[in-house]
Amino acid sequence: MSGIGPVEPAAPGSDPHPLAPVTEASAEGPAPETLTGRAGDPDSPGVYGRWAALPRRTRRIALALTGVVAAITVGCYLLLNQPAPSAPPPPPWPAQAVEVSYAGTTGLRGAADEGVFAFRIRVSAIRNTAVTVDNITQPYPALTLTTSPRTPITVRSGASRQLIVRISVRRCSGIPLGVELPPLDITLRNTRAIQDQTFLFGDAYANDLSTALRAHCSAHRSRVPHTP
Amino acid sequence: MRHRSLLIMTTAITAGALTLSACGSRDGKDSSGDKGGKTTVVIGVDAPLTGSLSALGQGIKNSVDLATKIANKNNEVEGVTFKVKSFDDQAVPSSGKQNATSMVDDEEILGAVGPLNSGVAQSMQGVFDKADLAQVSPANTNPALSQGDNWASGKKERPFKTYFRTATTDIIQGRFAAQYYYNDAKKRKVFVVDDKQAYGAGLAKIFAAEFKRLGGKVVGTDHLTVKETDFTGISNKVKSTKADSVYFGGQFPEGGLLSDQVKQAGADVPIMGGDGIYDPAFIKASGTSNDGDLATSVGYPVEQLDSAKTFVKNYQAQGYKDPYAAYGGYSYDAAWSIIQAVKQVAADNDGKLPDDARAKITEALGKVSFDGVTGKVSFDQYGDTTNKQLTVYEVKKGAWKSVKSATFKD
Amino acid sequence: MHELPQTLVNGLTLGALYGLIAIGYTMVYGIVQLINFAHGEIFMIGGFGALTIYIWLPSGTALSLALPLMLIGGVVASVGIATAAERFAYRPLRGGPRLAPLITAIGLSIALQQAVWAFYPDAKKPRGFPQFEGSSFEIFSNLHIQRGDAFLLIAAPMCMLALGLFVSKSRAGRAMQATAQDPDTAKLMGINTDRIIVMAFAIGGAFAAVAALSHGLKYGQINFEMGFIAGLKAFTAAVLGGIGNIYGAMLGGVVLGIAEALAIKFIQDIPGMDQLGGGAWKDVWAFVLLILVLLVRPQGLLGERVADRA
Repeated sequence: MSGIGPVEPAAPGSDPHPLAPVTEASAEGPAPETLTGRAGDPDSPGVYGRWAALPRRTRRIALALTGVVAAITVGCYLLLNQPAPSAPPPPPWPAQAVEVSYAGTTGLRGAADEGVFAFRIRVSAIRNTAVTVDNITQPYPALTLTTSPRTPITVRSGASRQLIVRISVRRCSGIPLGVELPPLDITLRNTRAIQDQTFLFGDAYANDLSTALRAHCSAHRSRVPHTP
Repeated sequence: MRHRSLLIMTTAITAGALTLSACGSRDGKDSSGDKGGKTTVVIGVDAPLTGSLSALGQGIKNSVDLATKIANKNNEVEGVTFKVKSFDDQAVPSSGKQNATSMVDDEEILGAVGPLNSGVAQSMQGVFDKADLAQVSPANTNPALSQGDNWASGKKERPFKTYFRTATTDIIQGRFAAQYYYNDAKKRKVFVVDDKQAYGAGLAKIFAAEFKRLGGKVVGTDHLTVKETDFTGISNKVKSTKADSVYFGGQFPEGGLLSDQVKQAGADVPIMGGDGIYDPAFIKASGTSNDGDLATSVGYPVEQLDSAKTFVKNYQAQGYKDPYAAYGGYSYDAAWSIIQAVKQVAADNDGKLPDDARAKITEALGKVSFDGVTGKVSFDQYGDTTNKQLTVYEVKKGAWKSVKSATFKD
Repeated sequence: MHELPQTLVNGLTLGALYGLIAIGYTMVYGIVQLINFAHGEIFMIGGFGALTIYIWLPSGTALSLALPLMLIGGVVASVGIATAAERFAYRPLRGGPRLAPLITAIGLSIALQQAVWAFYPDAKKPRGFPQFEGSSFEIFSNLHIQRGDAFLLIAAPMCMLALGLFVSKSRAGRAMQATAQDPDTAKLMGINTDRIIVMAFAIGGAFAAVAALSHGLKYGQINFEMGFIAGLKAFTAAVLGGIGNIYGAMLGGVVLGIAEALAIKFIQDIPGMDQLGGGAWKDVWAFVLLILVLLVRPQGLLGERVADRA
C-alpha cells in the first residue's frame, strides 16, 4: 500500500497515472479526458499532473511571470515598509517649557489703600522654545486683575521676564481672605499648543495677598457702608 | 507508635513551613555578589504586592525593575549591575517596618523605592535614617513626612535626611481640590468622607480647611472602614444633609463603591478625591455611571508627557503581567534618581563604590537633576520633588479626562 | 423618623446577606463543631463562579436570562470548593484534637483568597459585576428599594423556606437533625453520617453562592477580599442567633444588619453622642449589641443546637 496509485495495474490507454512519465502524445497538448477529473476524484491528475501536462513553452512563460510578480511584490513591500525618517521631536507643551515664580510685592505707595495689590512674577522659558503669555486671570469675582506690560507677552527661549500684576478689589465681600493657595490662571502659547495652566505659589504670595486685602477692606469698611 | 510518627511528621512540616515563610517574605532574585568584576547594587522595593492595593504595588515593583534593566542595558554606571529586591508590606505599617529592617541588614541594598502608603512610610523612616539608607517614595503625599509635624503652622523642618519623594504632597493636592470645587465647579456645601487612614484622613482635613477659608460650608463629615462594601448609611446621610458635593479622602476600592451608592441613594452629586481614587477601577467599580466625578493626581496630564511614551513602550516590551498603574512613572523616576546618585558617587570615587556608599548616595540624591518620565526630577531641601504638578481629572463617558492642570512653585 | 423606613430596609437587606452566609457557618458547626473559617472564601468563590459564567455568555445577554445560569455557576463553584474542603482538609482530621481543623480552616481561607488573587484573571482589583438596569422601586416617598436589593429580599426568604421544609420534612433533613443531635446514635440507626456532613457543607456552600450573587447584584462588584469581612460578620450573626440553629442564623443576620444601619443613622442624634455615630462607629455599636445579648443570653437569641457530646 504505497498510497500512490491503484493496486491493480491500470489498463493501458485509460487514465494514465498522475506520476507516470509524460508521453510524447501529451507534449503537444493534453488529451481532454485526462484533465477533467474533479477535485477529490482519485483518478484526477491533481495540480502536479496538470502542470506536467502543460506544454513546455507555456510552463516557462508561467514561471517567468510568477517570478516577475514575486519580485514586484517583494519590492513594493520593502519600499512601503521602509522606516520613515524620524521626525524631529516636537517642542514641549508650553506649561512644561516655562517656570513662573512669585517675586514679591512692588511696594508701590498708596496701592493698598486704593484696593490694589501689586506684585511681580517672573516668567522664564526653560526649554528651547519661546512661550507667549496670552492672558492672566484670577478666579474670584470680587477681585479684578491687570498686568503691565499688557498681555500678550512673549518670552524668548532661555530668557526670563518680569511682569507686574495688579489685583484690585471690586467689593469686600467674597474676597479670598486667609486662603492658603490662591491661584493665577495663565494662558500660555507656543508652537506646540495653546494651554490654560493654573499657577500656585507658596505661602509668601498667599500671605501678601491676604495682608493687602485685609488692609484695604478694614480701612474701606470704616469709611464706606458695607455693601453685600 | 502512631503518636511518634505523627510527632516527627508535625515537626518536619512545621520546620518546613517556617523555612518557607522566612524565604517567602523576600521576593525577588538573590544576587551572588560580583559577576565578572562588576559590583552589584541592589535597589530595594517596598510596596503592597498583595492585598487590595496590589495592582498599584505590582506596578511600582515592575517599574523599578524596568529602570534597573534599562540601566544595565545602557551600562549607565560603569562596572555596576543593578538588581531589584522587592518586599511586600500589604499596606500594613508594621510589615513596612520589618521590611525596612531587612533592607538595612542587607548590605547590597544601597537605596530603596517605596512605600505606597503614607501610613507605612511613617514607620519606615526612622529605620532608614539610622542606617543612612536613602528612600525615595513614588506615592507618599502626607506633608509631615518631609516637612515635619508642624508644617501646618508654617514651621517646616525636615525630619529625616534619608527620605525623598517624587510625588507632590497633599498640602497642594487638598488645597487645590478645594479651589477647584469652589471656583470652577461652584460647589458650596460639601460632605467630607475619609477612610481613617493616614493618607485619606490627612487629605480630607487639608481640603476641608481650605474649602472653609474660601467661604464654603462643610455640611457633614463621616468615616468609613477600609475593606467594607456597604456605605448605604453614609449615602443616606449625604442625601439628607442636602450636600451638593462629596469629598472623599481614600482609595479607589472604597471610593468607587461610595460614589455608586451615593448616586443610588438619590443624591445626584459628584464625588471628588485625590490620587488614591484616580484609577480606572474607580470607574469600573460598578455599573452606575460615574460621569462628573473628579480626582486630583500628581503630575502633568499623561497625554502631554512625551517622555511618558518611551516609558510606556519599554514597559510593554518587557511583558510584565500587571500594568504600571498610577505610580509607574514616579517609581521609574525614583529608581532612576537612585541610579543617578550611584553614578555620581562612583564617579567621585574613581569608578568604585566607597565603603560608606549609603551615606554618600543619600547626599548625592539631594543634588540629582535629570529629565525623567514625569518631567524634571530633582529634590528640594526637604526631599520633596521640585516638579510640583497637579492635574484635575473628570470622568467623562466612562474614562478619566484631564480638565485642569496646575504648577506649584514655592 | 422620616428616614426610619429606608434605614430599616437597608438594614434588612444587609442583614439578609449576613444571614445567608451565616447559614453555612451554623450548619457546619451544628454537625461537626467546626468553625469553618474558609466559609467566607467559599462565598467569595461563588461570586467569581457566577461572574465567570456571565463572562462566558455572549455579551448582550439580558441579565434576567443570564441570572439562573450565573446562579448555577456560582453554586457549582461554592459547593465544589466546600465539599472538596470537607473531603480533603477536614475529614482526615475528624477524631483528632479539636484545634487541628480550626487551624486548617484558617490556612485554607488564606490559601483560597490568595489563589483567586493570583490566578483569576484581573482579580487584583475589584471586578465589575452586572447589575439590573433601571431605577429603584419607589414604595413611599421616603422608601426606595434598589433592584439588587429586591432580588435579595425575595431570594433570602425563599431559601430559608426551602431549607426549613427540607430539614423538617424530608428524610435527609431529618437525618441531618439526628446527626446534629447525636452522631453516634445516628450512625447506629443506619444513617450515613459522612454523607450527611457532606450535605451540610454543600447546603452551606449553595447558600453562600446565593449570597455572593446578591452581593454582586447589589454592589456591582466582587473582589477577592470580600469574604474576609463578610465572613466575620456572618459568623458573629450565627453566634448572635444561636450557633447551630438555622433560623437563629438568619435572625442573627437580620438583627446585626438592622443594628448597623440604625447605628449609622440615629446614634448621633442622641444628645451627647454626636461624636459616636456615623460610619466610623457602626461596627462598635453592632458588636456592643452582640456582647450585651450574649451576656444576658449566652446561648444566643434562639438557643444553640449543638450535638450532645457526653
